[in-house]
Amino acid sequence: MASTQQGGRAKRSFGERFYRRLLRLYPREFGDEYGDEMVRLYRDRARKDTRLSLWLALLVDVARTAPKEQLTMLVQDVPHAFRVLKQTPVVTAAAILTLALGVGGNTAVFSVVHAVILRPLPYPNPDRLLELFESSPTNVGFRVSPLNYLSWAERTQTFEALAAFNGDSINLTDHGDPERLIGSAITASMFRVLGLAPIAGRPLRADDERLGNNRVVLLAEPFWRQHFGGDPSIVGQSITLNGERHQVIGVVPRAFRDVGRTQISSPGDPQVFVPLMIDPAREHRGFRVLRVVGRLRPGVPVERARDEMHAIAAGMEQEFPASNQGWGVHLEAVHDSMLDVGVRSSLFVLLGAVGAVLLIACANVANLLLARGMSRQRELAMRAALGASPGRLVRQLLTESVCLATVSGVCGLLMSIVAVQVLRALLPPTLPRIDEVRVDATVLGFGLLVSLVSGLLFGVMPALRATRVDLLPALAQSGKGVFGSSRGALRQGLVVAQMGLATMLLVVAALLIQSFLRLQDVPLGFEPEGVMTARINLPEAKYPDELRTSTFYRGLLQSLEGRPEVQAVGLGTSAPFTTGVRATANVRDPASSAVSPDAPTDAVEHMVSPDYFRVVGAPLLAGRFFGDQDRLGGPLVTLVNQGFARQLWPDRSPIGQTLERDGRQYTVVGVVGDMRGSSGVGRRGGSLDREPQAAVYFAATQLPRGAMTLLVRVSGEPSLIVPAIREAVREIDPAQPIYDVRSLDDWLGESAAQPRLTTMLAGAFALTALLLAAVGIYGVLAYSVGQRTQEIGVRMAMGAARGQVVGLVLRGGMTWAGIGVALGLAGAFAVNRVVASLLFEVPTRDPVTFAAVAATLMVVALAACYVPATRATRINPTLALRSE
Amino acid sequence: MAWNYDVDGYNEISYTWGLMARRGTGPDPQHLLPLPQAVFHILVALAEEDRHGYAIMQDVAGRTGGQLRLSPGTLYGSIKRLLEGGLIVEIDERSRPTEDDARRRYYRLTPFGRAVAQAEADRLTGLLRQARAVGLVPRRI
Repeated sequence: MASTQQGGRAKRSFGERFYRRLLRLYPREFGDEYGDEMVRLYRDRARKDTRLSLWLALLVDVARTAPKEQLTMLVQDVPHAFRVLKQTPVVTAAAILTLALGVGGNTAVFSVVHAVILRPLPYPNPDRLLELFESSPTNVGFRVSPLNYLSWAERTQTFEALAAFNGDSINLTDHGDPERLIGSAITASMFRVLGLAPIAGRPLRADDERLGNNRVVLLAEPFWRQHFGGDPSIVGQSITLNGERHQVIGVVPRAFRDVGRTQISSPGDPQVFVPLMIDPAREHRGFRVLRVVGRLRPGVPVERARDEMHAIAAGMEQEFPASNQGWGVHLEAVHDSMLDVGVRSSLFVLLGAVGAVLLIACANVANLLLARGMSRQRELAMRAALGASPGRLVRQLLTESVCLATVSGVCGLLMSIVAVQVLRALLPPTLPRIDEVRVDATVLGFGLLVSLVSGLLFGVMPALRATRVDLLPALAQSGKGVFGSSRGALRQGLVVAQMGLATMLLVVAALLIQSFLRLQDVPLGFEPEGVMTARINLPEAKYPDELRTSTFYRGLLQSLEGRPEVQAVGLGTSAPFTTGVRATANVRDPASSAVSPDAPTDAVEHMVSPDYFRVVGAPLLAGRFFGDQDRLGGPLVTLVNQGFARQLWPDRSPIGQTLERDGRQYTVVGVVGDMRGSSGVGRRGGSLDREPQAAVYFAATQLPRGAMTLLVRVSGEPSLIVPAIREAVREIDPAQPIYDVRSLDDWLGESAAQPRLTTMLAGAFALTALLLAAVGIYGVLAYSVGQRTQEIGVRMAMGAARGQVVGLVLRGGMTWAGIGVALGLAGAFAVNRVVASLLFEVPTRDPVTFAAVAATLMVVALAACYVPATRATRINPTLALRSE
Repeated sequence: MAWNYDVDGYNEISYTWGLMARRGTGPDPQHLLPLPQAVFHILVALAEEDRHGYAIMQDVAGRTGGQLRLSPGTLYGSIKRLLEGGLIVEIDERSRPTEDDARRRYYRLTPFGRAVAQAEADRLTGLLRQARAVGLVPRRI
C-alpha cells in the first residue's frame, strides 16, 4: 500500500512538472495568477481520470486556450500602446518620421536589389545555366568566335546543349517609315538551353540555320502584342526585314529577353529573333563576336564543366595556335554574367549604407524611448507596485515599440512606393530587369520585417531598462543620476554606435565622391562637345558588296559636308562610349621580335573614314591620318594608337612598320592618341574608369562595313543637325533607318550614370546618417543636462565659471563622439575592401579622406553638443537648488 | 468521458466588457447576451454558493450529468474575464468557508453577475417558451 502510494506520488509529480511546463505557454501573468489553481485542478482530475484521456484533454485544452490568452493580452496592450504614444505626440512623430525614412529607404533599395540581383531568372533550373566566354590573360570574359563555339558544342560532355546569340539590328520596312528593330540572332539550340517553348508557333529548328531556309523570324511577346495586337494569326505570315520577306514562325515569351540583351546592340530588349547562321567556310577562328550560353546536364557540378572546358580549350590551343594561343574558357553563371561587376557591388554597398542609416535611426528612436522611459519611471514603478510582473511591463513596452514600428513601417512602405518610382527614373536603363523593379509581395514582406525587427531592436533595450526600476527612489522621484549610471552608459553607447556608423558611411561616401570627381576629370583622349552621332546598319541583302556600301556612305558624307554648320563628318565602326562593333583585331607584326610572331595582340580594330579623328578630336601623334589616297585597291594602310605602338614596337618608330591582317599586309602610316570608351569589353566600349585599350584603325574605304556610326561635329547645338542627317539618309535610300541618334556628350553622361547614382545615393545616405547622428548626440546631451540641472546648479553656486560648465558638458559629449568616430574609422578601414571595386584611382585607405571625415564629424558633434552646453550655463543655481 | 471544449466566444465577451468598463457606460446585462455556455454554467455554479475552481468544475459536471467538464484553461480563462468584467469577485480569506481548503481561491457572484445570469436565464426561458409554442418540446416534462 505504502509503496503504491509512493509510486503514485512519484508519477503524479512527474505529470505535474510536465503540466507546469505546459502552463508556460500562457502569458506569464496568467500563469502567475492561475497556474497554481490550474495545477490543483489537474491534481484533482488526475485522481479520477485515466491517464490517456486526461492528457489528451489537457493538451487540447492548452493548445486551444493558451493562444487565446496570449491574443487577449495583445488586444489589451495595443490600444493602451496607442494611447501612450498619443500622449507624447512630438516624440512619437519624430520617431515615426525617422523610422519611416529608414524603412522606406531600405525597402526602395531592396526592391532594386531584389529585381536585379536576387530574383531567379525565369527559366527552369536557372542554376544550370552558364555563360561561356573566351578568355586571355588580358581579356577575361571575352566573346566567343563562331568556330570555337562549334568546336565546344561538338566536344562537350558536361553540357546538355550550348547556344550562341548575337545582337543584330534589323530594319522593318513593311509599313510607313522604315523602323529599326532590336534583334537577336540565336541558334536553334537556344530553346533547349533556356528550357522555354514559344507561346505560339514553333521553335527554331536546326535546318533553319541553313542558308536558304533562314528567312524565318520569331517575335518577342511584348513586340508581338504592341505591333500586331497579340494576333496569333501573324504566325505563318511574312514581314519585310532588311528588305527581305521573312516568315513569322512563332512568338517567344518575354523571358527570352535576358539572353537577348547583348553588348553590341543598343540597350533594350530584343524585339525579333532570327536564326544565327555560322558558315564555317567564311568564318575566321579569331573573330570573337558571339555570346554563348549552355545548360549543364542534371547533376553535373560547375567545377566538372569548368575542368572539361579548360581541357577542351587547351586542346584547341594546340590545334589552332594562330587564333587560339593564350585563349582559354571562362565560365560564369548566367545570373552573374548578366550584370556588370560594378552594378552588383554598388547595389550591395547602397543596401549596406541604407541599412546603416536605419540602424542609426533605430538608435535615435531607442534614445527617444529611453528618455521617455525615464519620464515614465513613476508610471511603471506604480504599475509594478500594483503587482504587474516585469514580464508584463516589458511586454507592454515592446508592444508600444512594435506599434510604433508598424505605423512607421506603413509610412515607410508608402514612401518606398514613391522612392521606387524615383529610383527607376534615376537608374541607368542598361540595368537588366530594371522594369521589374517594383514593390511586390517580397519587397513588402521585407519592409514589414525590417520595421518589426527595428521595432524590437530599438524597443528591447529601453524596455528592459525601464522595468529594471528601483521602486523606492523611482516612486519618490529622486532618481536622477544619469551620468555614470548604467542607463547613462547605454545612451552613451548608442551615441558611440551612431557616430561609428555615420563615420563609416561618410568615409565610403567621401571615397565614392572623390572617385567620381576623378572620373569626371579623367583625360578622355577626345573632345565630346558638339558631336552628334547616329547609327546606320545597311542590310546585307540590299548592300551585298563593298562597292554599294562605299557608295552609300560616300554620298552621305558628301551631302553633310556641304552644310555650313558642319565642321567635320566621319564614320567609324564605333565612336567612344557609343554602341557599335568593337571586334578584337587579329593582327600581327610579321617582323616583330617583341612578341612571338604567332601571338595575336589584344587590340580592338576600328574601320574609320579619313575625318573620323578630326570629328572626335583625337590628336595625331606621328605620321598622318587617312586621306583620299587610301582608296579601295590602293596600298593598304593602317593607323595605330599609342597603346598599340607601345605594345608592339616599344623601341622604334611605328611609322612604316607592317601589320598582317587576314593574310594581307598593311603599312602603318600614323599614330593617334589613346581614347577611353573604345575597348572591346563591356557595353559601349567600357566604362569611364577603364584604361584605353590598344587599338588599330583601318580605312573604311579599304575595309568597308555595313554597320557604321556617323559622327558630325557642328558649331552650336548638336541636336539641330539631326533633321539634316535624316534628310541626307532618306535622299540616298528612303528605306534606310537611322538609330541611336544621340550626342557624344549624352553617351558619355550615360556611361557615368551608374557611378553618379551610386555616389549620389551614398552621399545622401551619409548626410542623413550625419544628421541623425547629430540629432542623436544632441538629444542625449540635452537630456543629460536636464537631468543634471541640480548638479550644475551646485557647481555654479560653488563658483564654477561658465567656461567650466560648458567644458564639463562638452567633455561628456565629445568623449563619446570621439570614441564613436575612432571606432567608425577602424570599421571603415576594415570594410573598405567592399567598395574597392567601385573606386577609381582613390586608395581605399586614403588618410586624407579619413582625417577629413573624422574632422567633419567632430565639428558636427561639437555643434550638436554646444547648444545643450550653453543651455547648462543658463541654469539658475538658486532655482536649481530649490527644486530639490 | 470527454471534456467539453465548446466554449467559443469568451474573448469577444471579455473585450466588450472591457470596452464598456473603460467607456464608463453603465453595464447593461442585455449587451452581454447570449453568454458562452461555459460562462453561464460558472455563473450558475456560483449563484448557489461561493466556490473555488475545482468545486465549480465538479458542480458543472454534476449538474450536466458529466456532459460538460470544464478544462483548466477554459475555466480559468473564463474566470479571468468574469473578474475583469465585474461579474464575479475573488473573496478574501476571512470570508472563506473555514471548513474547506483555505489555500484555494474562492469566487463570489456580484449583483451585476447575478443580473447577467438572470438575463441569460430569461433569454433561454423565452427560447424554450417559443419552442413549446410550436410544439418542439412537450408542455410539461
